[in-house]
Amino acid sequence: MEKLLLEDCKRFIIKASALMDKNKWFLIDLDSKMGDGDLGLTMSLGFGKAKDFTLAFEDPEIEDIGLFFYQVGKTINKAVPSTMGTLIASAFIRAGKELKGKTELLTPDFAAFCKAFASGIMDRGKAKPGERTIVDVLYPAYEAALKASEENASLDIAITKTYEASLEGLEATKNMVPTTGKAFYHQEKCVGVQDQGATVGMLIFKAWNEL
Amino acid sequence: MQRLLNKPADYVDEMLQGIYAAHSSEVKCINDDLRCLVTTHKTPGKVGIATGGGSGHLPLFLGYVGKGLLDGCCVGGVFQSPSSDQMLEVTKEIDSGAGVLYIYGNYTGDILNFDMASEMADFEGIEVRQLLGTDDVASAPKSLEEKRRGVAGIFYVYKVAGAAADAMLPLEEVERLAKKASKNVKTIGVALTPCTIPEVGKPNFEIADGMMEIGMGIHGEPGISKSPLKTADEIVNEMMTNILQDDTYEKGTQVSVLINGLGATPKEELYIVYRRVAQVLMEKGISIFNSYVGEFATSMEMAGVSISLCKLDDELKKYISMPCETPFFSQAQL
Repeated sequence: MEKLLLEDCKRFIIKASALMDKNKWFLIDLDSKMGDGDLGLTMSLGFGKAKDFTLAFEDPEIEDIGLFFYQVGKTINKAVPSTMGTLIASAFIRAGKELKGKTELLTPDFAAFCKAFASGIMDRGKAKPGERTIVDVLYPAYEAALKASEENASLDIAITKTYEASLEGLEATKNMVPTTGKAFYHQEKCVGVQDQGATVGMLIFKAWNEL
Repeated sequence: MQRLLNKPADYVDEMLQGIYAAHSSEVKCINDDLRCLVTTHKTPGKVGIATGGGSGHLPLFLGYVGKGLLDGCCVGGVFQSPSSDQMLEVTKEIDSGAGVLYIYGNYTGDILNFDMASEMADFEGIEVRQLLGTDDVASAPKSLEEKRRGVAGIFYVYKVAGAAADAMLPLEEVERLAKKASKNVKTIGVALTPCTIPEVGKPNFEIADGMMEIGMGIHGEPGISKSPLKTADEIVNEMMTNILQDDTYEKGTQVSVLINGLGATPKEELYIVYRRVAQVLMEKGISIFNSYVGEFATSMEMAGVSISLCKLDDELKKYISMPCETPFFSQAQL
């Protein structure tokens, strides 16, 4: 794949929804141990609404990818106003703003998507890497995408490298101590277990990888 | 506390239906969302000013929507933040082509949702700036001013911003003046009894009989000192010490004073408080330009009062003096 068009971005959302559905009970289980147990429900519902929006989306004359992601963000925000729902929505809205007007994405644009996605959550959630959150997947993923872009890698390679970084980031959360979110109140239960928010982050990059 | 309501779950929406019915020529809701309230008087080319926050604090927040003050407001459940979508709808409705300024209290839920709304508005072509009320001196030390809670003093920010917008100033100027007012206002409160959220039915914090809590927030956030109830003059002395040490008030400084009843305190007592405030200021050589005494930011049926001082210069005096009119608050040209 040389570039991503609106069609591919739509397939990405549909794929992400499928992955959230497939992992719904796994996420609920993880979240129950150190949260309020609803993460699988909210991600499945939120991405489900995003998928419905995508399927009903009539391609406009100018196939603005940024506008599409912005509207995906708004859809998720309305569907699941929980903390994670709002954060994921923020990520898509920020990504949409970054890519506004673009009708195709090359490797540098994909890196820009990753950067905006991560910063949307870091700014809204006020979290930094190392605090055992979704940021611990999103930030390394962005760094991998940036590196691929600087090395003039093809889009396929960039996406794969980003996905691999997200897996490594997720693994690393097993040894981090939470400093924010509901998990903060369950610190002893977190040792050796992957973070549930970070798991969602990995699934998002898995969706890109399985396009 | 015995209440006048129907079903607790309908408290906020029935209150809003009553407001729209009573003041239909002045305020309306957006589409069918009762919780998105806007003025019926829209001026093309004027900066739009929006606020928002939880219900339970009337006249804060929606009571300040009207001529010379604010243009729109979204409200949530009692002490709950409205949604980012609702703030976006208000923003779009009040935008007259000159941009929008959000003025709201420094509370996590509101910041999350309104910041989100500002990003969405920006994507959709509306310039939005934001300003947080941080006037409660008891909620954080001077060195962490930006962490302070917003309480009754936000009235001064509304007044100055509303007047500046009414004078058709551009967004940067409205923001600059509002920021100046915000920096110059200091507030401290004292609570005598707790309050109740209708759906909960009982207070979620305690103030024992014969006790008071200085610095308690408008949602019952803990204050800086619990002590036996003193006389009004003694309480005012203590509160004024806190305010006056928080900023420079040289002899000859002019201030505006706001005495705010928290909901259950009779107006008679607000004036007893004002009497001592005026004496303290006179002793310090600080002169009072004008005063506001009444309910400006309540907390359901909490008994207590807050004192706000707004330090003035010529600019702030000019905009505070301008007239305004809403169903809850009116002022002729001073």
